[in-house]
Amino acid sequence: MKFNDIKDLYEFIFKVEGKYIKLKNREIFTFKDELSLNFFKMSYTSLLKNFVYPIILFALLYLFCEAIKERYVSIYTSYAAKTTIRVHEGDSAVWLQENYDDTHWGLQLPKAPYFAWMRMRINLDSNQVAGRMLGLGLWAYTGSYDLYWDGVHIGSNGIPGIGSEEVPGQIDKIFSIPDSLLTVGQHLIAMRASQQFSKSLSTKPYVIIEEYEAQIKYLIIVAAFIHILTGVFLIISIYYFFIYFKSYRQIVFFIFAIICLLLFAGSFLHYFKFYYKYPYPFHLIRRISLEAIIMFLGISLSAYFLFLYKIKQSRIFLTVIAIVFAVSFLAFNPNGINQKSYLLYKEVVLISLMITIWALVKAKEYSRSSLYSLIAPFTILFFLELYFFNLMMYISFFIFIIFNLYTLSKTMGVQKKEREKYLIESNRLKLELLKKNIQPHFIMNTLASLISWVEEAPIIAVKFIEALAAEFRILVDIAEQDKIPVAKEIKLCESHLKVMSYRHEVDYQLKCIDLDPSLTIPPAIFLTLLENGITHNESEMNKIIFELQLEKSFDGMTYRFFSPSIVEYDDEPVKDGTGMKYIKARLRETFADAWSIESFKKNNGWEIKINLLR
Amino acid sequence: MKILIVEDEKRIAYQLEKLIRQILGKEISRLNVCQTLNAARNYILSNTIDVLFLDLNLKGYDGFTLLQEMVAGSFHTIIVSAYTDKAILAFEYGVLDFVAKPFNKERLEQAIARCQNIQTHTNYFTKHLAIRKHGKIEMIDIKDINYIQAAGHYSELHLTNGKKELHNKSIDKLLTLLPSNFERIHRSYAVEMNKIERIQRYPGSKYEIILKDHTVLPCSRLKFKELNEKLR
Repeated sequence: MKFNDIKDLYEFIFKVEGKYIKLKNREIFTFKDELSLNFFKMSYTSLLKNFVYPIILFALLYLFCEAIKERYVSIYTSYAAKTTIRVHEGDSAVWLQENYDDTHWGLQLPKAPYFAWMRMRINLDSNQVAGRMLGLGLWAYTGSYDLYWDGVHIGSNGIPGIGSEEVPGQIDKIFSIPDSLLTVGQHLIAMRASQQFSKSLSTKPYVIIEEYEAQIKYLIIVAAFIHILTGVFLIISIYYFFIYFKSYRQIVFFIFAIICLLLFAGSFLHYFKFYYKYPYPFHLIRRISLEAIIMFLGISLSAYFLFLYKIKQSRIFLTVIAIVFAVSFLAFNPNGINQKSYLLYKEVVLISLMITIWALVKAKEYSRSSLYSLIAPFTILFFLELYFFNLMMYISFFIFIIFNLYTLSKTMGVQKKEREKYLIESNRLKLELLKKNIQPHFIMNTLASLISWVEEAPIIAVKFIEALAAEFRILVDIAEQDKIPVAKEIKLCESHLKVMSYRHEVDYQLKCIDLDPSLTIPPAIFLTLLENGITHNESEMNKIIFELQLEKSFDGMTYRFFSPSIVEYDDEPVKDGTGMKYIKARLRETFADAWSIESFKKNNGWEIKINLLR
Repeated sequence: MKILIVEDEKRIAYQLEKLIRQILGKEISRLNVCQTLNAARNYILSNTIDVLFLDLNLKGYDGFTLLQEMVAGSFHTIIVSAYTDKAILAFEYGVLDFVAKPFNKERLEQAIARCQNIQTHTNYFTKHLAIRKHGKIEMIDIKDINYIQAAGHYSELHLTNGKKELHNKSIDKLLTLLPSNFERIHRSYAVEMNKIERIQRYPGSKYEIILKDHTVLPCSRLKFKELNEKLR
C-alpha cells in the first residue's frame, strides 16, 4: 500500500479508525516527500508540547510533593498542633506546679512587650520513651524563657525579664530531657517567658518532641542540602554577571544574574538559622528581608520574561507589576507567620505564568521552555501552608533555573549568529554608502551634464566640479564610521543638493528646523531621504525646499523629513527600495529595536518620520 | 523627422537637444522634450514620432516597463543612459541603439544615421518583439515568427502556432531591428531563413517560397538570386 501524499494517508487513517491510529507496517509510509510527514507530526506535537507535556509534568511533580509531604509529616510532627498552649500574663511560682488548673487561661499571647507563662500538656507513650534520649525542641519563639518539665527546671533560653532586664534568647532551641523525667504518661511543660523586643512580632513556639540527635542531624542535613543549591545560585549569578559585563550586553542576562543572586540571598537567609541560632530580635529583620527578597524576585522575574519575549511597552508593564508588588509588600500585614511571603510568592508565580502564557499564545520565541520552567514553582503553590514549603520553593526555583539556562544558551546561539550577520551587514553598509555616490550611473549622469556646462558656461562648470569634489570629500571621510554628527550629515546633504542643483537646474534647498548638531546618527540617512525626494519629485518648479525637523519627546525624538510635490505615489511611497533598505539597515545596526519609520502624504508631498526611542 | 527626448535632467536634455539639432538641422520637423514618464506617455498618445531618445532610469522607476511599451510603438527607440550594464538587455528588447552617458556628437551622429539609412540588421541582439494587444504589452519571441507580412504602415507577424499578430512598426523598421537570418523575399514579405523548405520556380520568372509548414509565399525576381545563393 502506498500513499502519494499526506491527504491519502489522512483519509486512510480516518477511514480505518475515525481517529489517529499507529500504522505499524513500515511499508505503508512511503511518502513522496518527508516534509509532509513532518507537517503531519507537527499538529500533534505542538499540541503535546504546549498542553499535554506541561500537564503531565505538573501531575508528576504534584504526586511527588504529595508523597514526600506524608513522609515529612510523619518524620516531623509539630506537637504544637496537637497540644494546646495556654497563656497567662504575669508571674507566679504556683504556675509551674503540675496540678494547677489552667483551664481559664487564654490561648493568645499578649501584645509584646509582655511577661507571661505558657503551659501545655503532652502524652508520651512507651514507644517514645523506650531507651531513647528525647529532645524538646522549641521553635520560632520570639522571646526568652525558663523551661520546666513537670515542675523541674530543665533549661533556659536567654533570661526572661521586664524591660532591659531581659537577655534575648535564641530563636530556636533544643533541650535534652533528663532520663529521670522521661516516663510514660502525661507531662506538663511550662515556660516562664518574656518578650521585650521585636514588638510587632509575637509567636508561640512550635513544640517538637523527637530524639535529640535526630533533631540536630535533621537540621544539618537540610541546611547542607539547601546550601548546595545556594552555591549553585551564587555561581550562576556570578557567571551571568560576567557574561553581561564582558561579552553579551543583553538586559536579560543581567536580570537573570539578579534573579540568581536573589535566590542565593534568599536560600542563605532562610536556612542559615539551622546552624546559627541568632537572638530572637533579629528574627523580624530576617523575615522582612526574606519578604523583600521574594518581592524583588517577583519584579525581576517579570522583567526577565518581558525582556526575553521582547514585549513592546515592557517598561509600562513592568512599572505596573512593580507597583503591585510594592503595594502587597508594604500594605498587606497578615497575622500568620509566613502569610505575607506566601502572598508574595503567589504573585511571583502567577504573574510570571500569565506573561508566559500570553507569550505562548502570541507564539513568542522561548515561551515554551519558559512555560516548562514555571511548572515546578507553580506546582508547589498547592503546598503553600506546609512546613516543607520553603525547601520546595528553592528546589522548584532550582528546576526553574535549569530550564532557563537552556533558554538563555539558546538565545546566546542566536545572538552569536546575529552578531556575525551584523558584522557582515555593517561592512556591506559601508560599501553601500560609498557605492551610493561613486556608482557609475551617478558619475556618468553628472559628467553628461558637466559636459554641457563646460561648453555653455565654464565658470559654472568649475563651481560644479568644486561642489562634486566637496561631496566626495565628505563621503570618503564618513565612509568608515557607524555614526556621525548631524552637522556633518547636513553638510553632506547640502553639498549633494548643490551638485543636484547644477545637474537639474533646480534650486534645491534643505531647511533645518530645531536640529541639534551635536547629536549623532548613522551616515547618509538624510542624504538617502533627499535622494529619494529628488528622484521622485515631479514638479516643474525651479525651487524646491526640503524640510528636516527634530522633535524631542519624553520617550525619545523624531526626525521629520518633508519632501514636497511628489505626485507619483498614490499610497505607499516608502516601498522597500534600495534607499529605504539602506536606511532601515543602518537604523537597525545603530539603534537595535529602538526605532521606527513611518511615512504619509502631507500637503502635496510626503513626510517621513524617523522615531528614535530613548 | 519627428523626435521625442525623454530625459529627467534638464541639463542633459538640453545638451542632447542641442547636439541633435546640430546633426539633423532642418531635417527636424518637430523636437520635444519630456521630463517625466507620464508626460512622455501622453505625448506619444496624441502625437506621432519617428525617433525616441529615452533615458533608461527614469525618475527611479524601472525604465524597462516604459521600454517595453515604447518598443511596441511605430517609432525607433534609442536609449541614452548611464546604465551601460543594461545595454544588451535593451538590445534584446529591440531598441535601435544604446548611447552611453556621457555622450558626444560623433556617437549621436552614428545613432541617428542608423535610423535614417534604410539599412537592415543593425541590431543583432533582438530576441523579442513587443506588441500592443488589448491595451497591454505582450512580448513575442522572434523564434516563434514564421514570416512577416507588410500591412500598410504596420506589419503582420505570422507565428509558428498559426496565430497572427499586428505590430505597429513597418516591415522596413522591423527588419532593421531583426537579426540577419530574417530576409526580405518580397516587397511585402520577410521570412526567417531556417523556416524555408524550398523555392519553387515557375515559367515567366515567377517564384514561390515554400516554408516548412507548407505555407506558400511569393518571392520577387531580384531576391530569388540572392536567396538561392544563400540557401545553397
